Amino acid sequence: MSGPFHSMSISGSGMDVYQTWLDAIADNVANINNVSPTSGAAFQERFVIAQAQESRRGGYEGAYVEKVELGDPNGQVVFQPEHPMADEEGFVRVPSIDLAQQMTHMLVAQRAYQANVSAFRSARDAYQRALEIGR
Amino acid sequence: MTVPIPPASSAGSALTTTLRDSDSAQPNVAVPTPPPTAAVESPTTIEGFAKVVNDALDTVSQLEYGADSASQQAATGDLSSVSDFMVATSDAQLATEMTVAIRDKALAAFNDILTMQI
Repeated sequence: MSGPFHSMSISGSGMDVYQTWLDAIADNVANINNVSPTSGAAFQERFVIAQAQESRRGGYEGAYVEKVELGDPNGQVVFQPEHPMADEEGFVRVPSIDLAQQMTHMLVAQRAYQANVSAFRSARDAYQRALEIGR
Repeated sequence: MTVPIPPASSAGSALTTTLRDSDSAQPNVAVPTPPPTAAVESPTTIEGFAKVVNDALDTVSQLEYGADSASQQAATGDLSSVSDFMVATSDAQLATEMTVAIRDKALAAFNDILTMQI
């Protein structure tokens, strides 16, 4: 991905990465109270793995989402004998996701997205100023 | 969908319209076909300022094609990322502004020669 206005595409790739992270956090929060039987796996937390895009000719190519890793399938085993999914001993499995941590991750992802928008904006302004040189 | 063009470059929109007309002369299909890589075909090799203008026009038409397909995805609901759309449209807008700047400079040079005292 290369063109005359390259720094704008770099910021765009950063926005894509943080959008994916925000999606993953939303998924984690949406499933945080899922209950599964002890025979099955708990909901696994999503971890977005981002990496710098390698450039062949040198220079900067931005970031991309390499993969999405899954967290601990064991979760936490909780005693809830009244739950319809509980086993004979009264245990169910719930995901081991920390809501406070998800919220701080969300703030980081949101601010980082905004930072990329700022970088995009200043790159665009710089190009516009460059076009004004000849005027 | 037309790429947003600043009001100062009203002549530039006429330029892009001409580009579009030459594109739509091809069979009319729903999906816009990518523009040919060389916008101006000439039997002789193009060099110097003409080459610069030619390359700039190529870039503009390619970026506008990108913005067009992004707009189409937005309209049909296939758009996966809002930032991609904004990057594509900003790219196309800046490229159009760049073409207008180059054209203004070329016209100014031409006019200077026309008004030259002999």
